[in-house]
Amino acid sequence: MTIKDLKIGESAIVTGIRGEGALRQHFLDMGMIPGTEVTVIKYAPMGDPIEVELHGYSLTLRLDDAGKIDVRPLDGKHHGHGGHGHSHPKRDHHPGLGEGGKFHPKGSGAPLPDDKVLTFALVGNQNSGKTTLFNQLTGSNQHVGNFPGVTVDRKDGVIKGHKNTLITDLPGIYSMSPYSSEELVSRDFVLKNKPSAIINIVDATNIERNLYLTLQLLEMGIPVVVALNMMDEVTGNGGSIDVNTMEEMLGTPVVPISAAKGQGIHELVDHAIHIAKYQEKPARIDFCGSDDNGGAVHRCIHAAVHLIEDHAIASGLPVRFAAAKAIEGDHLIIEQLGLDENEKEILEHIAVQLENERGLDRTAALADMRFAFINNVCESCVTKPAESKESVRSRKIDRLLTGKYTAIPIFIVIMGLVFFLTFHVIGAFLQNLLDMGVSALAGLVDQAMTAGGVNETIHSLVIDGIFEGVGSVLSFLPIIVVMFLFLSLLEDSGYIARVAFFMDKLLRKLGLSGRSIVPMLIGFGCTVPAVMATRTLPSERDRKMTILLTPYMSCNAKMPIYAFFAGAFFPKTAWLVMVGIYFIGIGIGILIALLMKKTLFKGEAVPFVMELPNYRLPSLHNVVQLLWEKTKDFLQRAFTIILIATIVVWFLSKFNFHFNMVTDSQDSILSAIAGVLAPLFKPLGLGDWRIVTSLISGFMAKESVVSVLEVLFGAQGGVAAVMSSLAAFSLLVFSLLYTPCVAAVASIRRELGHKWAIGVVVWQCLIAWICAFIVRLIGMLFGLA
Amino acid sequence: MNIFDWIIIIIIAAAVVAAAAVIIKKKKRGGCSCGCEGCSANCKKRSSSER
Repeated sequence: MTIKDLKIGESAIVTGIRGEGALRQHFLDMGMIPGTEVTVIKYAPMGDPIEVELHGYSLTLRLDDAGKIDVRPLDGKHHGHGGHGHSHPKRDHHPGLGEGGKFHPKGSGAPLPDDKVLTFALVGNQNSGKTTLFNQLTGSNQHVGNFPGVTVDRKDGVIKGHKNTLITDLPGIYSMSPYSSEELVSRDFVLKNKPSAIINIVDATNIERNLYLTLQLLEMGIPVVVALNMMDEVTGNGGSIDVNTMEEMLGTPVVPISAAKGQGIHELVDHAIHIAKYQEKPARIDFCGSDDNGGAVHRCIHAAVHLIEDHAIASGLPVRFAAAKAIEGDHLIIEQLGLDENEKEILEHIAVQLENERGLDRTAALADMRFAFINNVCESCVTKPAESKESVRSRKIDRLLTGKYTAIPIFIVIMGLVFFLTFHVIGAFLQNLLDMGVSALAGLVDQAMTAGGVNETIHSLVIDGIFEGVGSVLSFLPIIVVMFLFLSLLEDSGYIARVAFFMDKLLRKLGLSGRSIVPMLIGFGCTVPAVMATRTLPSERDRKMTILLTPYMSCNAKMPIYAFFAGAFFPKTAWLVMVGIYFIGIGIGILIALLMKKTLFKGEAVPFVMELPNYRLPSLHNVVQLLWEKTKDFLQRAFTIILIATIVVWFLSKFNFHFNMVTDSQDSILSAIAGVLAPLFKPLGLGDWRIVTSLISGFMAKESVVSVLEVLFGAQGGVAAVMSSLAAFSLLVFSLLYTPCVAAVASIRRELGHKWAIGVVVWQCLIAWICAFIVRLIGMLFGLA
Repeated sequence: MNIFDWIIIIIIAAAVVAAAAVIIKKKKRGGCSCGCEGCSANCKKRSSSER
């Protein structure tokens, strides 16, 4: 019997994990080990994937993978490593938030010199609140979200009030066996950069699984302080953690905190600086008991420690950590150790002996040993509530948002509402308001300059150049901010993780994994972070494919182009045209995905294993912060790249090669340059050199397409005079699909290399041309030309 | 060319120089908020040198 055979609500005990490789290791690291109790929560609306609960948290996996996990039905008496155990009352020692710890292993090393910069690594599971804590510690404003894998690269900062410190926020990891590329960033940082100390953030509401990583960090022999985050939720739900006993059992300081509320932060900083300064290493690095299950694991690890000790010291690896990884068969570590053939053979014999004596394979035996220790710690220190309020609330909301018949209709309604409110209601209203403001200011400046008798050329530069160009782009700021507001609300609430869950089956048909939906939705905001977000995908194939598809998700910067042309050519149905353009992008993306699946990226997407976070109310501070960052970024672009581009375009369109001002822009420098490319665009109905110029400028920043058009044509009426509605629609399709801006291309180059980046530019231009041409042909067939 | 012409030219020239400086500075040093490896390394270098 496997998990696949269980019905909704049924519980069972895991008896074995079949399969091999990274996925199997990942399952073990997530706590799916023999003896664990699992309960089936639900199936996705399309019947796959499945959501199960273990160790008090929700994990999603595909049915095919669930079929590899053997279980036996729960007899009603057994309580394995999972479920909601540890509920015996032990409240007398609860220290409460912010109370000083009592256990400090002192004097394990000489204090570091005063002028030495203390470096800290902030390490923890995904979605455990690392970035929230990083922002608290450093006073910075890094973006935080509510789905696993928001942080995809390291970020550095100085702890507030402690100039001689440097803390690095790392992507979340579940264990020191990296499963995806961003997890490798974290492990490499800890192993190679050798921080003075590690701040290990632990989600106290999901303590068993989080402590699994803690044990591996302690094995490394680097000073560690454990920050028990979300303690407010634990205590708020009637639970408690005996921090002093936990400190004694783990052999390292433990500090209860609430990063979101800023509680316990000072105490955490004091502990972190103290252990780093005095290099107080964990008092315990050994978690295998000599009499646990006959002591097979204990003997195996200690034999391996003696075997590899000299190699580990020579290669700068922590001995205990390296021994455990070598037993697990971690190729990177074994290579780094440089064992000779004889030693490798001895290591293999030791591991085989462990398997024979323990009755489990080596990786499962080590995972079991760690979870057994964690279970012991939790039995002694943790009083868990039956189910947290957040979990109950999430379950109720999920009945609707991920229900069999409701999930997809609600997703369509939510996305439709986002687009409708952005383009038709809130965003459009605010845009009109700002547009009126910019126009009024331009009028005032115009009058003042006329009254002051300002030179005609300078007058033209200010009014026709800067105000038309930069001013027109500025008026689109509200639409962009409103769109980001909705995307950030969806992300912070935890809904996007659900979308990944129920869209997995659909995306698999396109050769992608459900997790690909996250970068794609981010792509509606901006392609740059979307491309970076693909680092959470564990397979190179999925990453490449997702990166190549994100440009089809129309980014916010293209919105001014749509609004400009939809307003000029389709005034009555403007918002429908704009939404339609987005759907054309998605549709073509789907076709390209199917093409890629059959050609470049044959095969199946990697397994979908993801933790579903509880729904949370988006923090007002986070949302305001994000909107401010986006506004600042947009304004900076408007007054830097777009200002310069506008002035350059104004100059080139007003002067000829002899630097004389021209009366007809047909005689200008720009006309001559863009005229060379114009024949290429003629079949699309876009042969006017001014349109070609605006499209070229879009490579720098998409918003500048509109500013250049404004400079060259004046108001919307100018454009309407030189092209038909069909040509305008053809231009919209071309703008939707042609090369991403230079910043997005740079991020693609960073992720995939320059060949892929050049390929994307050429491919997107080709696809855009073909699609725009098809649109024109269809229009002509219907007599719309 | 009157005094207003010169004032406007100076303002526009200053704005263009400032805009170019921001673009070059951003490209050279990397924005800390971007989060990419290059930017983080630059931020790290900067914070160390500022200390």
